[in-house]
Amino acid sequence: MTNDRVKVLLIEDSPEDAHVMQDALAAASEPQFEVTWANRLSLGLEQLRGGGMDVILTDLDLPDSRGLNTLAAIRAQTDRHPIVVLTSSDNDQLAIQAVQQGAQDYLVKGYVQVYPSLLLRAMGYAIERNRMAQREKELTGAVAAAALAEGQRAAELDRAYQELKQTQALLVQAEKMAAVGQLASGIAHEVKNPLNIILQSINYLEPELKPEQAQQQEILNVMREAVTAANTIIRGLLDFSKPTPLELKPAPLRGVIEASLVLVRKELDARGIRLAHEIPADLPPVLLDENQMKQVFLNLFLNAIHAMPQGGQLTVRAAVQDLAKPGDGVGKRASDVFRIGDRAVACEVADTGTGIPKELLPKVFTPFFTTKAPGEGVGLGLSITKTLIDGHRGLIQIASEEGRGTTVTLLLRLAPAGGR
Amino acid sequence: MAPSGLMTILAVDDEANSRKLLKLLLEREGFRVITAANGEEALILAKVEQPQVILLDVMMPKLNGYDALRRLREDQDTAAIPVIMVTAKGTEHDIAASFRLGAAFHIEKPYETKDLLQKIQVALRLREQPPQT
Repeated sequence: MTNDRVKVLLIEDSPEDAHVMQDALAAASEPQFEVTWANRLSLGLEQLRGGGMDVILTDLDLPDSRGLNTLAAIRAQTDRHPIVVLTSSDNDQLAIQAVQQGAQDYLVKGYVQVYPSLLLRAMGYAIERNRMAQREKELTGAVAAAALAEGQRAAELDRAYQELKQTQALLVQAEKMAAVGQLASGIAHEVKNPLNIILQSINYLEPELKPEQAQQQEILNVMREAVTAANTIIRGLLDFSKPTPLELKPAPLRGVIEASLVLVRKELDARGIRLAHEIPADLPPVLLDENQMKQVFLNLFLNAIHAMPQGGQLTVRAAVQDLAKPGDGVGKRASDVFRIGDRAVACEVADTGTGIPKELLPKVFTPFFTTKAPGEGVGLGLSITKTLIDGHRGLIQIASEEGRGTTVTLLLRLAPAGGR
Repeated sequence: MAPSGLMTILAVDDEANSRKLLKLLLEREGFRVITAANGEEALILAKVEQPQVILLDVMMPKLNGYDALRRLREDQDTAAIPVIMVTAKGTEHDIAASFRLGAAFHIEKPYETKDLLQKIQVALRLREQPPQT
């Protein structure tokens, strides 16, 4: 469905609201949406029977149906389509009930007008969440079938259960990312306005100072720097919540790593960190999006540097690896990223820093998990990094020992031979 | 409007402190400044006062900045007044929307005042000598 248009059935009786939704959807480029509008439930259900729809966006209060009955009527006809519910009021109770009764998401119309991106994001997540829920259902079916079968029953059950668990974990992660995205862009806009008021106040006061008021000028400079610092964080959050299209091209990993190292050179020198850099010049090209992969390495290098306040050694190593043994994400399961026998480039970023306590290791990819002091980090670095690597259909693994250091290993896809 | 009097700027922002500061900053530069707290007020003031430039926030109650911009463009009395969008919104998509609807500039908050002043000057000149097409 990557290049196809997503077909949206919009059930909405108010022409103005329908117009707002159509505008917001028309603005999307990846994926593109094709909207079919029905102004009452009966017409919507008729369209649905005609087939060809991918996702349903529906108002709850319609001329021929009200409230959760609308949702129930649609669900009675299809349990296959993701449904995003629209309402005019910010009613939490209704939202919870709608989601409990089978809607994938819930949007308040007024917000859509202000932040059209909310709608696009909600549609994307609803489709994705539905896809995973369907998969879970299939797997649950597989578990039941396996229970009936004799023979390899136990083994199959176990495998299906493992997959089910993995799918559930993915589902939870997708939910969290959706929440983070919505939260981030909402907060970001609310914070940029007061930041601007502070900056305009600085701008107003500055020319009023007399030449001898150097200290006052200095204070204004400090304020301006603080505004810039806060705005940088906000921009980071906005970038995080924005779905960026991936441009995978064959590229040399070495160049990307070197470009990211340049950015942290000053920090490395300032803390007396040695750099060991073992990347063979003849390493075959890897499939990557250069900008995103630069961000990946920048995040990993900054984490390593933070872990070594007293200096140490940062090692960056890369080599082609034959994946001979099953492991995390390597194997025959549908959810495995690599097959046994695949060749990949393994890239290690290792530090000799403080390390991560064993009990915290499983949490490091969770959004907003951080061990840094308030103000030093918001805890998105590694979760962004993992999201980017997932987008590359690669793997990220982390190993750490307290007091010895941390090693992050990336497994990346080789570019197909033939130079395409 | 004849350049004999003060140049008038209409500043539209739902935040009272933003309006207060814009007024102080722009009056210090010699402009006459009138303010509006939402898109609806802005439409009325623009029509009556015929400002030389309009500064328009996007996220506002009643009528948002993009809708206000659309309506300003549709009304012959206000269609030629240059509009600068001044907003916390700053994605490529937001900027494209500003230009598609006919804004002269899009400035993302937070911004430096001198950047705004420069764009106002350019917008004023656009008004005097509309680009030849």
